[in-house]
Amino acid sequence: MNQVDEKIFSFVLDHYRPGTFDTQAAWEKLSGRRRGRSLRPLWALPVAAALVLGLFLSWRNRWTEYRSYDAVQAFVLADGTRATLNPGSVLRYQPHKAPRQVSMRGKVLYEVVHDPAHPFTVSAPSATVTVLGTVFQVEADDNGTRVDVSEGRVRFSGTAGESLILTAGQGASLREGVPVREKSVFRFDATPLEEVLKELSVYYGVSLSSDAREKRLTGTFSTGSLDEILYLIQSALDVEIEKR
Amino acid sequence: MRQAKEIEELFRMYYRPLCLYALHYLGEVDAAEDAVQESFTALWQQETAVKSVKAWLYAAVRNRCIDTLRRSGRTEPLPSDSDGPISDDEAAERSALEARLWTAVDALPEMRRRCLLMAKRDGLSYKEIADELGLSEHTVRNHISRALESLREGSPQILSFIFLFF
Repeated sequence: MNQVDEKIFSFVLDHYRPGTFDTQAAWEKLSGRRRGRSLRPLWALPVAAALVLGLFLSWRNRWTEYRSYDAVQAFVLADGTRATLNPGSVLRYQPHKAPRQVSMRGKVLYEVVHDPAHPFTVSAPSATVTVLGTVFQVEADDNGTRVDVSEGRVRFSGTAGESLILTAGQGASLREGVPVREKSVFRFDATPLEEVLKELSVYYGVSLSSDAREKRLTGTFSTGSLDEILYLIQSALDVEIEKR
Repeated sequence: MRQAKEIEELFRMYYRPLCLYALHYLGEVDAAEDAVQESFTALWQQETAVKSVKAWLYAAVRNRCIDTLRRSGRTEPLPSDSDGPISDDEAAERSALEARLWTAVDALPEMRRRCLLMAKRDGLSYKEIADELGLSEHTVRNHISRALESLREGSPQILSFIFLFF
């Protein structure tokens, strides 16, 4: 028994996907390609086939990019997963080739369609989050990556390879490439109320509004109960917040 | 130009190990397969003799992986495993064992494999797997221990520790 064995075991299981690295299928693909080329008299056939294949591959490999500029925007991905982008966020993925692998920057709330056979993966500049089916939010920029889970379970791995399993109500962020548990919180620093409400609306899936949009809020709130947070904000800023 | 027969033999011997090797660099199954396919195509077109075909193939795959990583903006294209970066030699050395284990996992009956992956890869408890798949906890436990048993038979060098692990 040694450590390398264990590493080999986890490496294989972490990446295993049924039907991949299939030597027979791959060989047929390679040798078929070769045979196509040697058919001189029918040269047009392989050329046409290559064109069709090329078109197919460029379609299959096509990237789709979603951006939200100054408003919160929701998009439904190819597998039915809903991604809600906070202002200034970007999400990219290949809908045909890898519908459950997205890369992102900014702050995005995911409501992932359940499919245990195909984990949903979010890659951020410095971390990766893998899920089965759940609702969670990823915030990723040059300063780091933070994950908050509201339903289900995700695996959060840093560039150093260490990973954490997070369940509902838990959050974590990266410290020097290593994911560290944190209490799930909202942090506001002289943030206009309008933005605060936008962020809470996205996270809790409700619509919040107030007339006093220019008032600014500073403070840290745990992600537990929305009503409690609203109560605190209303009494701190002396405003009315309407929830729909 | 090489003979198809010769290429086929090499392909059958090295395809999976090379895929696992590429996976250490790229971390993505489809990209790894592409890198290996391209390397074999290049080998096929290779006119001059090479001293060690195996070493040539590993180098070809490595160069393709590094190119791919550089193109996607990675400055230090290093291979890694589930715990972090490893050396290139380490990745090459492990790839053969990993290929055997991959084959053994592939050969598992569907349910056993799903239970095993949910337990080890996704970190779910027996109870959670049982709920998810509509099985009893006892059945899940059984599937996993049978799966580990077959894996041990399929690649005896690696699996001694797994029994302690679970």
